[in-house]
Amino acid sequence: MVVGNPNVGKTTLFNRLCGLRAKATNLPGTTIESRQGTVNCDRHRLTLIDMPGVYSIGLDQPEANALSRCIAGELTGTPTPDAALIVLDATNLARNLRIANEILRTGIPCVIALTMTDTAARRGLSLNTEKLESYLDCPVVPVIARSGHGIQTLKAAIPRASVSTASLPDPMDEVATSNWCDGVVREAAGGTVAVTNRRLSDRLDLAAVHPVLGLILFATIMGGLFYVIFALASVPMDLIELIFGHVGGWLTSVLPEGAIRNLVVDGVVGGLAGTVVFLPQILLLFFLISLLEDTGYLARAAFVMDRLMRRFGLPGQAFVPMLSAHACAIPAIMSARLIPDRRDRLAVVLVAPFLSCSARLPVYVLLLGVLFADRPALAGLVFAGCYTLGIVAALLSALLARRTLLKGRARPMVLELPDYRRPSLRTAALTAWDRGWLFIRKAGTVILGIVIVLWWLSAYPTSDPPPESIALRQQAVAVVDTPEADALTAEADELANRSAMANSFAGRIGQFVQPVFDPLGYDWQLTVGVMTSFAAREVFVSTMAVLVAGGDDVDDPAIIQRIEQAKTDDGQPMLTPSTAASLLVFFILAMQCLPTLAVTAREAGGWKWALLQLVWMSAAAWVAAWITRMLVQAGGFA
Amino acid sequence: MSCATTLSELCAGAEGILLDADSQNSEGPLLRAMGLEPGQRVRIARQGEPCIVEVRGARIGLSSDLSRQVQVTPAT
Repeated sequence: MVVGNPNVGKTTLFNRLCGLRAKATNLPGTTIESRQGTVNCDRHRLTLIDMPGVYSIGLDQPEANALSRCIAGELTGTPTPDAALIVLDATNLARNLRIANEILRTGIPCVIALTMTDTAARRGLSLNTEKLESYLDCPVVPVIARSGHGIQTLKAAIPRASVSTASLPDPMDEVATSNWCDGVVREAAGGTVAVTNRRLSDRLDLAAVHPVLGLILFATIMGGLFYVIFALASVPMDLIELIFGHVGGWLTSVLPEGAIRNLVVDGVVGGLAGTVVFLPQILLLFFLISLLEDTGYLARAAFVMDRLMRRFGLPGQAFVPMLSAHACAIPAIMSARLIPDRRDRLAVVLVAPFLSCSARLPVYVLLLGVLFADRPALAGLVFAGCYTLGIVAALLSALLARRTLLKGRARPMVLELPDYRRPSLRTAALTAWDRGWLFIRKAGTVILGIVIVLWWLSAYPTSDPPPESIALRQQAVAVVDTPEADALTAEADELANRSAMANSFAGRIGQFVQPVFDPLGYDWQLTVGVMTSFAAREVFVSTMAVLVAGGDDVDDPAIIQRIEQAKTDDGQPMLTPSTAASLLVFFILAMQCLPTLAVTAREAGGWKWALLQLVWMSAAAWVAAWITRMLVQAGGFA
Repeated sequence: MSCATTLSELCAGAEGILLDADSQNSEGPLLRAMGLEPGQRVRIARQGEPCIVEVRGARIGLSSDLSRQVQVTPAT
């Protein structure tokens, strides 16, 4: 078990010891995350658990409770730890000794790793390890986690962990503890007590948390982060889609035609592609956040945003997840772990999908094209309005959630501001790897299953082509002129595709639930489009393409045009201005992403939260879409 | 001896000695665990929202709600 204060280099040390042989899991029975890994020390293979950083095990915090229960062996599912590796920051030893004292007094065998000894030495602070060992009565190993210095010595020392018999103060007696901590440091350091390089930190802090300058700095950094995720992730995402497309094509050519081929190509390969495609964004986001966190900037940024977010009942740390939700809600929800308070975290997880993710873009483009075909300036304005509506809905929902369901006093912000330093690429890469792997293991499997089920719903039962289609095909055979025959065949395929979609389970469900969407002005075709979008929004455009245009090449302008000009079964235009506007609002607000629900269920700790998210968002979307339609119609449009 | 005041009243750059802070402050245990213990010398690195204090070599940011609740004696 690895324990210590926050920001002492615990995770860096853990990564040094375990490398890639580590994975993030929740402590059994809690929503507290810990990482587990293995390390080979002195011919022993040990399992290390990296506990969350806490200042004291006596604090009324979920992390502190989990830690004290873990030491006492009260966490069912986690064996009582054999020993504790206490990580202490040499530059701030007096305060760090407080938790060391608490752990040593529990009677668990301990080893102490003294980190940041290089920084301490640079500040003219040298600690006498032997003296510390004699005061604490357990092995003390100075390490530099970043460079790996001292790691071998530490590995050799871990099996020598011993129960301390030193005379230690009672942690409940704060005065005695404080005096003891100062005394130990005085003895070990030969009189000097730690100082920070205050001038540089002071100046940087003044800029970083400044009401105006800090905001500009923050906006620049976050804008850069968002841009990088948006711009860079699209390359590997396109590549993933291309590769899976080729694999699908190859499998189509080698497998015999039939249900098995459909399952493998459209279900499994399509499902895998739909899962893996999220990975680039997840990896990039966590890599960049980890870098930012490591520099020490993120703690300052939390204060800058706290002034703004607090009005909506959210803490400053909620900003990063809410910004990255504009690329994709899945990595955003996963990054909500940055938020310390559980109620705050749940609120962010619940409302993050309101923010317009990149999957909504094609739908916005299609519908804005219908609404403002010849007025690009207005289209641009409404486009910005779509994003604004998402943000407003998210913030108001968060406020509502914090006032009702997640009621509780907002805790005033208090955060340690770690020293500024150069971020470690190694830590960032490991964090990204960890998150990516966690996503694949936990959410990926659920997402794959969902995608397969939805594919099955839209592909089965297969139906015979309608008589009109067969008649057209017969005509095509009779016609000698090749272009004309091709045109007839294409039209026959179109009719067959459309009828297959209408007769599939998804199509039938769409027709069945159409009355629900009737007040919003959607006919059964649009309803099927909306229903299939519940798997993932980007499906909408391709479903509509199949339904009304008989092709699925959504890059073809002719197909888009045909969607725009499509008719309902009784010959009326399918997408009138009022329908298109209400559809646009529906897509902005509705929870139409099953993969996100799977991630919400995992991060919030239960499917009830995912269900709440689905119901709340969809209900809000329906109501807002209905109001929009009424308003547009009241404005004199069809 | 100068009279007691709160962290939020000290100027940036000023130092103070923390007093026994067993007020109704619910964050008291956390603040003490973070090093803001009675008798400790603190230096104000920045005043306002947030208030940044330096104590035992660590820098801690406090929202002004909290810095208004922490009692100190100004020190030179």
